[in-house]
Amino acid sequence: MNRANLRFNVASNLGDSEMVLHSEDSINESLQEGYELICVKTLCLEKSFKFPQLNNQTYYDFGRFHPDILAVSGIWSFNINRWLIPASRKLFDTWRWDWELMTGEPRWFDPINYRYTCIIPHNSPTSGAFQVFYKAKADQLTDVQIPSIPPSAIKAIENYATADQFFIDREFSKGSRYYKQWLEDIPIIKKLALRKADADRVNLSAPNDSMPIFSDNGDNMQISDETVQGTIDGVNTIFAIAKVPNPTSSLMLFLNGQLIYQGLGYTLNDNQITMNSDYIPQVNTPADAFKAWYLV
Amino acid sequence: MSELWTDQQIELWAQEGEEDISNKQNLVIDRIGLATEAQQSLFVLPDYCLNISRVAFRGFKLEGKNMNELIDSQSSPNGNISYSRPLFYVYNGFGKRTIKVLPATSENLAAPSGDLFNATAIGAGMIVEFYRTPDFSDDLNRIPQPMRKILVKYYLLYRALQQDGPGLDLKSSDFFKQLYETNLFDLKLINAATFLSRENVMGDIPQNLFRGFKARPILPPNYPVRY
Repeated sequence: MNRANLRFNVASNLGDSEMVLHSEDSINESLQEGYELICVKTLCLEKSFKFPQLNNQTYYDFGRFHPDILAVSGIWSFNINRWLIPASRKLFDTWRWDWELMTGEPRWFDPINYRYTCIIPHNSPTSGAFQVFYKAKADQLTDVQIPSIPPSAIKAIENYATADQFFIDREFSKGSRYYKQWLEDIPIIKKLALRKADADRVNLSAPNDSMPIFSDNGDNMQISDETVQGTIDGVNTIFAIAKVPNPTSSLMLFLNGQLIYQGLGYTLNDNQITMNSDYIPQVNTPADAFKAWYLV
Repeated sequence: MSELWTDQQIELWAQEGEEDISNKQNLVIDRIGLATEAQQSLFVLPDYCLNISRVAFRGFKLEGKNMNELIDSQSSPNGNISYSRPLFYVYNGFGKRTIKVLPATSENLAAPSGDLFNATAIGAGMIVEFYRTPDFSDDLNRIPQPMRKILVKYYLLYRALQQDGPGLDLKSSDFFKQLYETNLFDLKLINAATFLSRENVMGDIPQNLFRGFKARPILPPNYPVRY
């Protein structure tokens, strides 16, 4: 069931099939909100991205480059071909007081909030990358798009949107019925999501919808370690990358392994990069390594 | 809406709502680098600091103590008894947003700058990590979406409908307040299940179960635990 179908159902629930009293935009907004809340409360969307190891970096600001992260759930290190071990900063404190300065190949991680993830020890100089697995926020629905949650649970979005519209109308008793139903739907979606996790190790005689359709690797393709095009002569400020980053915030530029922040060190216009004067690549021996990582 | 309430008033309530969320739930992490002088022990933190989560001097973590522990230790509250690498900080009793480090610092160090989450800056001086109020000029330091949008909406409705005047509707205001608090409670559970570091206090058996590693949030089975 796509968004257009859901919107029609919500309008019918409201007794306003022609959408005279409730605008299309308003119902779309409620549907989007319901979808987003389901993803937050059940963590049913899973995605991953590749991220380069950074010099001396103890805390990775994954949220800056991938704003759809709800929580980092796993990290694979390509350098050691192992999963990093999930741990907590309180544990690190028991090892040594200055664990933030520990050097070596990364082994442990602790997501400290929606934005930062602590990864220790850190390497310098470093190369290689992580594959970061995370629970994702909902994507923006379009009229023809089917929400990425189990098909049998899509009714939950309709229930939330109906309740929300009734609440806006201050019809609380009518809205509460749908809201209660929505609250009851949440644990069902959680169970369906967990069943998918079980599916590769137990036989399930469940209906097809116990295998929800998830986006496995995100909708965007990752470009890794691309050499930035342009003359490095200590003067030139204009450089280019092969494709236009989408979203633009996903672009990470590295000059000799050091991350340069967008806005501070350079500006991006489509695929053209204009370096600020303090960050112009210089003529060095060996030559400066100027690399880009981004989504398209 | 704009006939009953001005855009400015609505904007103000929306910001107030976001501040209320961050006051009740530690979400937005920020760091500040502090310059130190030899024999300095008092440091004032910025206004937007709500809760300290970590203080480190040249990468070494300082242990948080409260005023009572300082009294028990019979340490002088005024004199700086000794100077070396600070080991402790006292987070109350010395004024608003003022911490006292013990022993006092022994070095003149510039405030670490640049990326304060990078080991180069961490090792360079004194850094305080804290939960902060939202920074409305920077989307990265605000309550994360989509919870921000939903919570602020309910908060705004609750505040707007309780304002005296033609828009007054106390029953509706109470209803939206309840929705706000319910969703805020959910946010607390999500945050606790996902991000809070924990330490097992149950003795050896649970630690053996975790092969020596202390408890940490595990996703998604305990997420959130309310249902």
